[in-house]
Amino acid sequence: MTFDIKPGRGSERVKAWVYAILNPVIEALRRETEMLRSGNLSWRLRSRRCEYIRPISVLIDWDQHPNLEDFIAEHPTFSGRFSQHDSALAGVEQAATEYVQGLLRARSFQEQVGKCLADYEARLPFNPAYPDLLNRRDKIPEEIAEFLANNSRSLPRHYAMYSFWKEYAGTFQEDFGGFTETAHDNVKVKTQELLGISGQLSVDLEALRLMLVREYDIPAAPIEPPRANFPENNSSTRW
Amino acid sequence: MRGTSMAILDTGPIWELVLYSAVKQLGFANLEGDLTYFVRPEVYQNCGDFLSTFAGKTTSASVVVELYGRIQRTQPKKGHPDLWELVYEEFRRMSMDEDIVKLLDMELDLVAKFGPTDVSLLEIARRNMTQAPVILTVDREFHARCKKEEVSSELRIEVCNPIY
Repeated sequence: MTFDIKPGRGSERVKAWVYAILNPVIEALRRETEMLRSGNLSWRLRSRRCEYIRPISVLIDWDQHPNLEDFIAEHPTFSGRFSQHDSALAGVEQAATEYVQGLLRARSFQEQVGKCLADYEARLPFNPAYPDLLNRRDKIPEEIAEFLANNSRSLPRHYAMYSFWKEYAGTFQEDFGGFTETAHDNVKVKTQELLGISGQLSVDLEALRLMLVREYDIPAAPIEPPRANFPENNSSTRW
Repeated sequence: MRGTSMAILDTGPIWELVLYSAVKQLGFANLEGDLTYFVRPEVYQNCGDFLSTFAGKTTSASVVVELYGRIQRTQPKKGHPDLWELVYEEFRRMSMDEDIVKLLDMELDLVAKFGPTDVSLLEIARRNMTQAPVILTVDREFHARCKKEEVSSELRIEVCNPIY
């Protein structure tokens, strides 16, 4: 740490770094690395971003941003590392966008979607459990493209596309997982890059947290004071 | 099955589906304690199997308001957009429809007895009798009260708990 006046034992300032900055970021990075390992980018065509993988500053409550600035002032190396994470994330989002746009433009993809839909519809009379997809037909290419970008191998049973995807996921993953190979490879490369950055950042932030809680003798998470008997407080769910 | 059957979802099953996605698929571990029914993957799968047997799924606008209440009770507030994203996604992926039932279209004594959300579900069922509606709820009281008041037999609406 670079400051001259060392915070004292139990410092409120250090607690603010741990509780408002390190804890939410570590938790989000752990979640992020798990998702990236499985290839689930949570990328959505509608927003063209990864819905559950976010830039670091977004992980921190807005009213805690002064504490973020204070943390960065004393740990300047993390400023660059947070930016590195955010640019890698932007790279993944850009790569996924290009991959999906390429997929949706490709005649071979459109033909494959049409072929699978025709086959699915021909099977409907013999498979009463298959839902009719007529009312979402126009959106199906986009849904498939999202499944491919997010490496969705199966869907929950209650989703309308469950039976379709169960039947044809393999076909699409074989033919289009590697479609426009450069675009698909680029998604994989960018994902691996982000995974590496996030994994290391998480490890380093955890090490820093351990060091801070030891050095300043503070708990790693706030100890809640005894609850006042307000029913509305008891119903609150922390996540 | 494809054809005529319609599932009308109460707040509880939708909230559990959303929580399960949040906890098991996206790793929001802090919400795990809120999962009341889908504590094991088999229960989630069973419910999914059950839901998949209905041609249509719908709910009431009042249920959306109750979902808002559940999301509001979670902390921190910055997580609320993520939960709403999950709610939207469940609705989109399930092809969930939504109906509005006006207060004045509901019987006063039923509203007084069950509350406007539950009565709105009953009213949606009444409006869709040709589609063999089934109300899905995890609210044992609602379920029991419907049975006790013979709502289901009177209206020929089946009320069931998808969890058990």
